[in-house]
Amino acid sequence: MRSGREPVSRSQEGADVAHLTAFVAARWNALLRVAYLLTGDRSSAEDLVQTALAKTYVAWPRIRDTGAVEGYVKRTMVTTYTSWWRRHRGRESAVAEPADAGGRLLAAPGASPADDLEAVLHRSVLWPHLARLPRGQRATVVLRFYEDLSEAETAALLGCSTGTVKSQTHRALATLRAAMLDSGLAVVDDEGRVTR
Amino acid sequence: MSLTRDADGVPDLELLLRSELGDVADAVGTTAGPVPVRAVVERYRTVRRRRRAKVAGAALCAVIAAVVVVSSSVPATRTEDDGPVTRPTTPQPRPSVRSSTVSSDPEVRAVLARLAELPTSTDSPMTSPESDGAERVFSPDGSRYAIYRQFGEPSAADVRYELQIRTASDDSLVAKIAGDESTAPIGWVGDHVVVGEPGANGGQLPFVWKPGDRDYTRVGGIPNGEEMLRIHGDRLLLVRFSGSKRCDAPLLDARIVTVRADRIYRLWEGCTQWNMAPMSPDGQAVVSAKSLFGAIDPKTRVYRGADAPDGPPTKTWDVAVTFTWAPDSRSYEVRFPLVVPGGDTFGTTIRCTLSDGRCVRLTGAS
Repeated sequence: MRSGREPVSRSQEGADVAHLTAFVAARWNALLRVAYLLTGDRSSAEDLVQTALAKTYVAWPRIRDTGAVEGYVKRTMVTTYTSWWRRHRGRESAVAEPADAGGRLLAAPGASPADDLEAVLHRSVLWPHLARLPRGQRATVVLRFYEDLSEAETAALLGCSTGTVKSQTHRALATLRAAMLDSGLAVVDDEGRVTR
Repeated sequence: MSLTRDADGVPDLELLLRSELGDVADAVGTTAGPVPVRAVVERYRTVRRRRRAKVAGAALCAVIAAVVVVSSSVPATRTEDDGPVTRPTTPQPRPSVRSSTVSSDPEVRAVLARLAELPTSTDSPMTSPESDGAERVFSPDGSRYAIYRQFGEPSAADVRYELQIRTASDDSLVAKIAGDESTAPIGWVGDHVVVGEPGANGGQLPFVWKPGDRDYTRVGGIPNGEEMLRIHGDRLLLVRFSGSKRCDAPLLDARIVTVRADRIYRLWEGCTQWNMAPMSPDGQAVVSAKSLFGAIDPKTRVYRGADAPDGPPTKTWDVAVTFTWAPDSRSYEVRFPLVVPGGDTFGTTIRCTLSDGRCVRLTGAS
């Protein structure tokens, strides 16, 4: 078994670079999507993915299971994201809305005009409040509702307990629900009741 | 994605979030530029150089510190008023144990001990079968098949979807019904086609359609919070995502039921982990998350396994395992993200065979 401190040979480094290149080519866009949902900003998202990939592959000799790489990269992404928050908390501003390359408010592909309008309405309310959530809550929301991870899987990735995931999710949903209500848009609560 | 709405057309917040996050992410993907492979590799090399410099610096500091300690160590002296002589103790190197083998959780330790006891095999773990992407879902007698058809581009305003039944011999159309983007057939129960609507927790809500009927019928007897994870023949694996009664978190209540027309009848109840897929491909065996070293016939309740059906470990632990059934349903493999002391792989995989209830620890390369 090779320890993490053992010198890495050039051939090993070459193999790592080859693996990294193939992995990036295959999974860049998927990782970028998650990073964008976390950061709300394209350049920060790209920086986050690059940082997480570099950290992961520097630790590559310790990862024996190639199938686990993506999970490891995502975990590094989330922990890096939260550490950025601690360092940059004072100078970070919330992103107002998700914009595409042309600066338009994003609408769902294939949506009808009515659906399109509704989606833009929902998004115009949801997205700014999502961006203002504490990073732990935002990461939890992305992992639970975009990555479709269970509470246990989310806890494992965030390195916290399932109870923390539950409470973070609850608080995030409560915040977003309140934002929807403040905006006049109605939602269905945990009990299935409609509130406006 | 079509949102579940109440009678007033109001969307559910969790579903709305799934939809919105998915749409935004899709748009990010479609507007992404070229993959910056070179930039990533350069970043990696920079981090690696910094890491090496840091390790080298730390090693130099350690050498200097050792020299200082050695040169400053003097024989202990004492006066009559002093207490017993003491010397500064040098930390002893700890045994090198991989972090994933260290746990204070008694259940995890029990699992590790049990894994270490199992006989070994040099076989390699099987790979998870890829979805064959089959579009045609054949009826039990093979005479007909259900197929899901989309007309028009997904982005077109007039896109429509159909669930069609065709004969296997000449592909002629037998019956059809309008659907939406999630109305893909997933199985047959007698002469009913089963379709699944995405549930709020990642599972599906099963509906049946009898060719010729005017609408789908939701399978009854499945309460809110319970969703379908698998269907094999007429057997459904249902998991309860909220209000679990039998199983402590993070385990989930699970049950296997048979479907007759649009009703269900209970066969087995137990616990599962999310993503575990404990039902065999033929639906004739199931593995409870409370006892991963054996499988039970959900109908006869006959248990075959390397341990007693109620033990030993994995009662309530939250270590997520990877679970794979052989396509022939004769064996299954469980990959524990735990390293048996002395093992040299990341995680430990066991294979259990139903015919003799024997489990072995696989030591071959994956």
